[in-house]
Amino acid sequence: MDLIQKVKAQLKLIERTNPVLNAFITTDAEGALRQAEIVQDKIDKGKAGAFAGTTLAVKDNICMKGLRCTASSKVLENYIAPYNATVIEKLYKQDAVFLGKTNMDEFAAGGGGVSGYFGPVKNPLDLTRVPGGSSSGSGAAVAAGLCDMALGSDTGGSIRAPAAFMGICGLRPTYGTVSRYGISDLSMSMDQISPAAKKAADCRTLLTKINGYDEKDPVSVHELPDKREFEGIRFGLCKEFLDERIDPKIVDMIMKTAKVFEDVGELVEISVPTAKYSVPIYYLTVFSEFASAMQKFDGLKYGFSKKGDDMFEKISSTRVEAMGSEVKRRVLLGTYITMKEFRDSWYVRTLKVRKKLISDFNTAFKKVDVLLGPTMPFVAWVYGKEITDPVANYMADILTAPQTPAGLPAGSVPCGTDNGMPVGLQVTGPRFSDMLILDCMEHVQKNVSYDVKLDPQLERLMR
Amino acid sequence: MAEITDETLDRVARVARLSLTPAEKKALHNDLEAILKTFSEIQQIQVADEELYYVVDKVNPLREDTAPTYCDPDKHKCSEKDGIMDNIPEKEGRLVKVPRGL
Repeated sequence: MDLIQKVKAQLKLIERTNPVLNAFITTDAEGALRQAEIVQDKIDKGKAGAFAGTTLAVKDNICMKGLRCTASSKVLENYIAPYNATVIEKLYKQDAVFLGKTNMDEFAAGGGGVSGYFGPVKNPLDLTRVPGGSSSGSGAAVAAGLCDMALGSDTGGSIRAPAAFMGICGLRPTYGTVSRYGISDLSMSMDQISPAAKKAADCRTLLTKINGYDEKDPVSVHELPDKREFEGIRFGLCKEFLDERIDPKIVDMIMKTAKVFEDVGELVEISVPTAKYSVPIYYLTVFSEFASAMQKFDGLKYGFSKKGDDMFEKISSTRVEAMGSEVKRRVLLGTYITMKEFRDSWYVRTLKVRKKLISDFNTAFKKVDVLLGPTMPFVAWVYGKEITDPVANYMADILTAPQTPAGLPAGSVPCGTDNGMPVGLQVTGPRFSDMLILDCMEHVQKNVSYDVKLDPQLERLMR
Repeated sequence: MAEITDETLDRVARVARLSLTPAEKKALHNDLEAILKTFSEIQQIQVADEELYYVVDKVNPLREDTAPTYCDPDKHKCSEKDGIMDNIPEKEGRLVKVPRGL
């Protein structure tokens, strides 16, 4: 099948499944087919780039020129991106074809995949369950086979949670190695554009095509992930990732899976004490940075806009009407903890604890090469049984929050099922160890049998 | 520490430019207190005086000090600039229209 036929077939699958799955906010059939024709011509002439023949879905917080970029918020419902994010430019140069923009939690501020303005995404393995978020649509599109690979973003687990809940691979790269230019930011010191695919090997291919220094991103680094031999590795079983807060069945499965690493190294028990406090460290950082990032949405320059007699009234009524409840909650918290009188005891305190967390990780990485643990403390929950208490909701991130304030890379790979729902093994490494993490993920995919089926209702739609 | 007075919440909402309804204010007030109460555990951790800088250690990237080149719409089409203008909710010609500030 040539690329044009393939793109047509995938677009058809998206059209058929979207009323149920809700993975896409915008599809770009015209742009995808136009690009497919150009790329097919290059393939025929033997001049095609490394991504020729590959189709991608892109999370809707990443700008693609001429397409709507909503971040799944009423705030940006009609915003048309006037430029491409750096990652999109890079992939166009490699002849990738983009099928559309995927659904997500509003402004990536959520972990369930249920808080977007365009409605919740369903889990393709069981439509009654949540997909995990915030890159829920990107994860669902990959898991359902609607595209070959996808781009998401990960701030506190937003690529890893959907990967774990839907049984695919997702890698959060080392902070600074993939340009954030063109992403609608949630937390500028932690956001990282991230690849997702069924195979870890494909995540690697995608990563190597999007990473690299970018002068448009002020925290972009020149270094690239190191490559090392995959043997003699010390695998840390991290105490804080395997404690009583996690479903014991999941802990058992991780311990069993960890044994596959014994033929390439040794398993070592280890502790990262401050990791226990990573949910408050992570969220207090997010609140502060998110409140700042949201200031640009004033209804004057772009996005949703209400009338008002004066500037204050116009901006305040625009924001209160367009922002969802979790967004407002975070904006208020961030405003509060950075105000002059509360700043020292909250924001500055968080920065100090954050430094301690980094130092704890550095100590651990002197003794081990990577840390192993689960990605999520439980499997994807059933819709209607979601946690409505915001504090309890934040605690779902106990395993994916620790890495990000330290700028560390981490990946999730499926390693088994519990009641038919996937369980993800998470590999965390020091900065620039992305390739080693991907080696570990590939090792699991080679040595651990894992099989899931799509929800029968979805499968019928795809026939 | 986690107790927030009504007056403080009003001030926070004003700074955050969110004109909350009384019902919204009440619900958010409860959430804010509960979240900060749980997160106050960070106060107990022994820390050094030094706070975090940036995750990435690096020098401040500066561009060459040259005059920026603006695109002249009379001479050629500047699609990015047009794209930016297209997103502006209220405008007059090439000017952004805003209400009075005071």
